[in-house]
Amino acid sequence: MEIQWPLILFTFFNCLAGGIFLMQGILTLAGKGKSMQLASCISAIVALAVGGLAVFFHLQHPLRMLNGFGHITSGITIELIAVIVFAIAVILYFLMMRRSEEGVAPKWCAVLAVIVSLLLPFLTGDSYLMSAIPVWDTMLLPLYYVVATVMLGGLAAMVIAAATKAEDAVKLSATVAFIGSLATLAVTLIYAVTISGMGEHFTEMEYYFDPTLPDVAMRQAEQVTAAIMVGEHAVAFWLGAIVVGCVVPAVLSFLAMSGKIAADRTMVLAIVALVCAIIGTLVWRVLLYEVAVNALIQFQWAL
Amino acid sequence: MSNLAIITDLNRCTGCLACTVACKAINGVDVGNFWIKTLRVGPHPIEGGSGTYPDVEMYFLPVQCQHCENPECVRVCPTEASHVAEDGTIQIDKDKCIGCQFCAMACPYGVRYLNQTERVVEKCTLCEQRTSQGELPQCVAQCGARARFFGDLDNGVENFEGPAHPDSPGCGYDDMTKTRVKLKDYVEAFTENDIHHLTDKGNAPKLMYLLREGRKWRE
Repeated sequence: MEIQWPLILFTFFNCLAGGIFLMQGILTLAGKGKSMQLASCISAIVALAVGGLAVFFHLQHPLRMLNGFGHITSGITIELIAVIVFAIAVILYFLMMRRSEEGVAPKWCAVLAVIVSLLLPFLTGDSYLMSAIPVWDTMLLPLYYVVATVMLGGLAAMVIAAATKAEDAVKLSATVAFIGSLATLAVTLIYAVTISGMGEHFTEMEYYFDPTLPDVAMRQAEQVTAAIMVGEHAVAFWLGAIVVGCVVPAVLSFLAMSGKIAADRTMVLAIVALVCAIIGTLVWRVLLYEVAVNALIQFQWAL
Repeated sequence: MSNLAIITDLNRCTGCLACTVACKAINGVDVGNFWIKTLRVGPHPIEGGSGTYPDVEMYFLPVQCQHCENPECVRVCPTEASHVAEDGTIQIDKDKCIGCQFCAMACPYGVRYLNQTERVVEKCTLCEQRTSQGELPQCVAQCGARARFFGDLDNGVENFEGPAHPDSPGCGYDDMTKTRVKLKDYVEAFTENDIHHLTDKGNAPKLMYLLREGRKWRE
């Protein structure tokens, strides 16, 4: 299938928005990050809005989107509901923060933030589960979105904390970023290994010819299953998704977590780590499109 | 509620692409899009043969919307634009389609296309504009090998109908298209084991393919 950039950006920004709000919820529960609450709420809403804007470039008739409630159990409708609930939770957090005499949102708002922030990426990933695409049809996909959310949230919170001088939030944010990076590393590796063993999920005719696609070569399952770890996408996977996308953020967040970096350098370190994580997660999302081949391998999509 | 479907006798299909072309012509299918396409499957070496010609076999496989029992396209459609119609076929309400193309991704057979002009997804309608007034789907009516038969599964596949053999009415095109022949009366004998479906990924495809013993079904 052709790479659908609007959908890649939509899922990425959903994870980023979820991560920022998740981290703010964790910080509030820990009694930290008071001065970065407003910046976190604004960043989360902006990320959500940019993601929403991106998906408009995919939908052919976006104004009909409200028809979505016509089929309440479809993945996209549930995803749309999750986005709306998430936005309401951010606004609620903001209003309760402003209303509070201490200037901090109440704990129940923080718990709500954690719950909706984990649900958003999970439900986003869940909408892509379809038996026709074996590489997507695994719970590892929503799980990846969740762990990437934790990683992106921790790193983004480090940046926000450094920008808003919320020094009390840096260490906890770095710890969550470190855990998130390791979890993303583990899930990405497990996902890649799982894909390499998906051969039996594909149906092959061996020799076939599609006269509507005369210049497209015959495909075999092995081309899909071997592509990521040892095949044509191996460099992008190992260098982009693993080293740049997980290892570098893990090392940098570990340095911040262990206090080995001077406080005035936290901003630079956090930005570098976040950019690396963004590159890595985009590379992995692109690779998931590159290998999103029909289970009936001889039938090509028209997309 | 009926249960409309098509069966294709692959022992008869010659891969002439008449179904593909006829469908495009009558339904105004966009350039580059195909509501039905015909794959060549093979040639594969025959088991126990020399491995080269003439010890090979192949068949042609017309692939279109399979009008599934549990359609994945309907499950993922956020607006119920893709839906199961009263006659058991899968149809798209273009006014509801938002063009998200998730149905095209979810279809195991790759038979859904985005109409670039109307910006909605389209596919085989089983020619509901024709069948609703008693005609045959155009791909059945125009099949060059008389390999395709259309009917209601509730009445048994053996009663599926195709246009009569040109000699039977002994007359011109118009009479021929109005005269029908039943599958059981027209094609060579077959058993239940000769009837195949495309690979079922949980969607239970309804369209059928007839490939008799002696040639290996590759799906």
